[in-house]
Amino acid sequence: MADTPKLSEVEHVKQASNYLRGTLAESLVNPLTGALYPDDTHLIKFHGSYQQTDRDLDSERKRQKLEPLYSLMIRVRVPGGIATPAQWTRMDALADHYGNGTLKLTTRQAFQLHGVLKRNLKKTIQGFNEALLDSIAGCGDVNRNVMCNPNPHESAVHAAVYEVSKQISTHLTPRTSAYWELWLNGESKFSSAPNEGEEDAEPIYGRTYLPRKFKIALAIPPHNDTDIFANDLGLIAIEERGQLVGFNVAVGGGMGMTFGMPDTYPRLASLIGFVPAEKVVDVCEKIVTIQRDWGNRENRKFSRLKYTLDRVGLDVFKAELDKRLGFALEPVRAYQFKSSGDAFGWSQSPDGAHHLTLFVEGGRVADRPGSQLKTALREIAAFHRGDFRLTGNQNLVLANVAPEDRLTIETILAQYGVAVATTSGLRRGALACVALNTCSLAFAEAERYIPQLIDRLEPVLAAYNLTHDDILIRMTGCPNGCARPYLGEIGLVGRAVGRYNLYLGAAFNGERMNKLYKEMLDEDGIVAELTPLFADYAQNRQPQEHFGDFLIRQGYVQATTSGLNFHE
Amino acid sequence: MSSSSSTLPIGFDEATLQQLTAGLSDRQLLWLSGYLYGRVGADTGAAASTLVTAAAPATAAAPAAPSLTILYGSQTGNSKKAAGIVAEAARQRGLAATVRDMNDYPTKDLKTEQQLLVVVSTQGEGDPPIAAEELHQFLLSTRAPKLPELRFAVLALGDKSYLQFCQTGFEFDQRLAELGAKRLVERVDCDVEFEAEAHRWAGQVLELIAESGPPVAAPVAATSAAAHVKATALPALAGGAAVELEEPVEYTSRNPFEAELLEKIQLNGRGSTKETYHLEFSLAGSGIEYEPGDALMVQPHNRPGLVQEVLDAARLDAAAPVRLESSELDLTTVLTERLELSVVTRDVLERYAALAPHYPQLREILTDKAALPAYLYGRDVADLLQEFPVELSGQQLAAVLRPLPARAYSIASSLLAHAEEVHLTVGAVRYQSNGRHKHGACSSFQADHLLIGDTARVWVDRNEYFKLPQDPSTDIIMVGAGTGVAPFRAFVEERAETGAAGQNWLVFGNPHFTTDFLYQTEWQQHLKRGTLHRLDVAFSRDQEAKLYIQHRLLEQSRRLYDQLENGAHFYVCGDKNRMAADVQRALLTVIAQESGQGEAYAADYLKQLRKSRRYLEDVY
Repeated sequence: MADTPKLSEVEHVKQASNYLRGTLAESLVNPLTGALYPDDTHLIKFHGSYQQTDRDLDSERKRQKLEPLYSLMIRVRVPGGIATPAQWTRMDALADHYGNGTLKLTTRQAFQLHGVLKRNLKKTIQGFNEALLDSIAGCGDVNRNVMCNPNPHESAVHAAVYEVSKQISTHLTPRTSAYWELWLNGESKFSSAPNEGEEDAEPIYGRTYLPRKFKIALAIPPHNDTDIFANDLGLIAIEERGQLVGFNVAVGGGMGMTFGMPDTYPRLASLIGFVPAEKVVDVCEKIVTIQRDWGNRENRKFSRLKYTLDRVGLDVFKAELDKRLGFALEPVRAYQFKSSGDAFGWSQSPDGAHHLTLFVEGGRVADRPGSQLKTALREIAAFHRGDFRLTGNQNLVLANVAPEDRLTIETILAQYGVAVATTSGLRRGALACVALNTCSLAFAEAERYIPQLIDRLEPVLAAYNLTHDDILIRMTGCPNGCARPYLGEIGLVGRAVGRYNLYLGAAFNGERMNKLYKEMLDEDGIVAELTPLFADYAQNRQPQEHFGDFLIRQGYVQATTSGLNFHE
Repeated sequence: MSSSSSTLPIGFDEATLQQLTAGLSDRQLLWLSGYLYGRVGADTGAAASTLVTAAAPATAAAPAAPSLTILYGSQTGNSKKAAGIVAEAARQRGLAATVRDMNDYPTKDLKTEQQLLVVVSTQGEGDPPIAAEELHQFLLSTRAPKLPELRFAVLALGDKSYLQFCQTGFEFDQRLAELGAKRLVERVDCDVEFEAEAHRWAGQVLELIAESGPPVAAPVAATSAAAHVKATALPALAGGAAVELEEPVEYTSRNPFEAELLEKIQLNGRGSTKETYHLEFSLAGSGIEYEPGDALMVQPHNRPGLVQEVLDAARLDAAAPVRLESSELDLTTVLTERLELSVVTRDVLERYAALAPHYPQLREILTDKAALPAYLYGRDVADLLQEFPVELSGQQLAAVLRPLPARAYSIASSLLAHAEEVHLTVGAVRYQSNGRHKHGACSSFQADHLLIGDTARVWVDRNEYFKLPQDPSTDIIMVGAGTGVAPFRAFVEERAETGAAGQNWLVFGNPHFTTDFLYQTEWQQHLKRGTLHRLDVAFSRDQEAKLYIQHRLLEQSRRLYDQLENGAHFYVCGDKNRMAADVQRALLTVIAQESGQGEAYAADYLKQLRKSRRYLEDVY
């Protein structure tokens, strides 16, 4: 027993949960509180949901002798980001009916509903199910939504890569019947549940699942809009003569860190080899099982695969992988990424279909005065014969638009005041996490605030004639990294309300992280720090040189070459 | 500590006392002292009244000495108080009287009465108090005996704003006369402020009785009987020390206490359709004591906006002089502080109609009794003045209107939990009628006008019956909707502080869980600490089918019946029309179902609960 590690609290909860059941059934029906029992707040994540409170109201309600306004954020998996018009319509309606009236498109191509009350959670999930969507493994210590870049017009192999992403997603979906039992009255539509009477089993995950969340993304070069290096497992599609032949495999990416703990750091995934397409699902499974067995289950701050890798060393990890696979990965093949952003506006693919990439500020599909995006998209979903594609940058592609529908779509967008791409390069590339008022981890604003900050920066950019330059700005309310802030050419990470650390110098294509430049800046401080940098960039950049690269060349910050030197 | 034991009464030693009081906090000890004092008072009182009735036949041999009984039927305790006033007046005249509660009065005793003074109130639209139901029914039935030997008088209590004002007193008075009894003096009907009338009536009737020869019972017994009323009327909390030291100042409508508002909190979360306030008043320096179940009277001011509307509608000068009870005031002050404006009652309408004979419509409204309540509903004085304009002076207007009454609020706190404070749960009453925004006079006074640091004029109105069980191990079931939860906050706090062993079960209802769960975090704490044992909630608008408290009671049918069988007290507080009747119906269903003995049995079961004061209502 001496070598038995002291497991973290969550490990005990998982162990005792009977495959993610816990006391959720009782939690859900307790009418005296909008909250779940404490242990169940860990388990609900595996079902796709986080318990949150409206932090704007916490102190007011405390005084009113009311408990915090608890609600649930619930995340719907959309592997590869592709949803049908019927699914869009359903999500739109559920947001109105049970959510806060908005849809959040996440940085991982999922839908999020916010503000769902406990008593409506079951009906909401049943609503997903009827539209053939689910939320299982939306969060929790399992493989999350599998990302794949959505640009159908850019590559003939997109369809093949998208298929692979769905296969991976299905293969790594938890097998427990708890999801069906709790939310769907036992009925299983995509039967991953065992037959009646059999005990649950998780052949890949086991009873306690993974030590921590696990993220997989696929990308087809030259586009890295899924930011594959920020993932535990990144797969770079390699095509030869118009055919998908396989993937370069990168492991150990992850954005999260904790202030004041230099042992924690963001890290980009390391390339370890190439695998032919037909074996890629197996590679994913084996990497997951190594992390399952080797990952740190004592301290969740060090549980991600990136720490496992840096602890055992890449060579040891690769040897173990080869052993579990029964074959060795081939050498990494050549590829080139050019950008990690989205290309806005209309495009056409060789098959004649039209595609429209729409800018969605903060990924928030809402009706606002002057711009009723949500209503416009609802009307479009009613006749659109193609699909809706969520991008890794919180934007939306109306894909495979029939040529005769193009004018109608433009008319509807114009009617509801939805601009296609008239904004600044800074704004259209911006990413922000939800942060306040619902995320319990946030120290500062992000999604609600970044538009105002950009309002301040745009005149500065205009003064230096940089309005149309694509500069990646990313903001999060805490250092955990949901909007991949360490891959922003400008990264702003919340320290306290109204105070941010400023990080600079990431690569435009997502292959280099940024570095801390200034701490605890308020809005005036941010503007004051960035203004001379924009001025210098406007005057002294080289042709095609991106802002992040320029700042390093000029010596404002040192290049971060590895997670281990991120803090240096 | 040895010196203190020398002061102990015989039969007590220090060790026994220590054992009895071990582990009790100062507050608990203080409470206990009051409780024991109250219990002694109650016991001796009960013994004394038994003594009196037993003594009467024994001394019947003495010639021409008729007995005197003061018989009261009380719901809120006011009639009991009035009976106490009469008993005290009798004592001062050296007249021996037995004070009896209609609730415990065997109907057969009526035949043996010789002189009977009836004090009875009227509830709602002309109903007798529950305590008087049985006697009232018996008296009005054909089974009632002829009473030719009886001499009687009736003091009726009521509320003039109700149409069937003092109806029960009227019926007692009429029926006793029909049965051949001789009326000593004319019945007197008292409005909400009954004390002065009660004194006057008592003086008048007792004068007559005294002239016709003194009753038999010894003065000593009479004193005990009066003391019985007084002792139990005193709150147990008044405690030995306070009572023995000196007569505390009594705060009444004539002498209200200026209580500072310490805290005001809107209890409803954002987006609620309700507007409920939690108010905390300071009683510091007043010596005011109350018990859970009591009410606090709050004397409001009328809203400045309404006063202006009345002035405009009457076309009167804001500074017009008005003489009111020998003081000269300006009309604005009178309308703001002294006269009721937000409600029009029948008596006001009658006086107004007398000033406006040229409106036949007013006469019609007054004569059509069925239509009158609908006409009065939602109308205020400004409406009346606008609808039937007349030329009148400020003095005339003041004479038409009734005094601005204080409003009673069930107290939401326990003194043991909040020393020298009283808390209220006040729902702001706001609505539209006759095309104008209307505001409840006293609720809006507290919601809008009264700020933290301001003072309000208050006094305690004792509720004789809506009280926690004497036995702390008795279970209680508390059913309250909306602000009806107020007294239960006081109950639970009190039982938490005293460590009462009985189960506390609360059933609460309101429209929405997220915004209207009044005192949610307090209940959660009580549940966690084990000072609240069960909480059922009904949020009517959170699902498609409306769901109310009574549905929860029906769901918990077995548990509810078991607790009643186990001796639990059942309390209902809240809206009389919309809730109390539904709750009672649900309870009847539960009893019928769980006993398996049908509806008639259930009706009788409930009646017995009421009679034994285990089914208690505080409804409004």
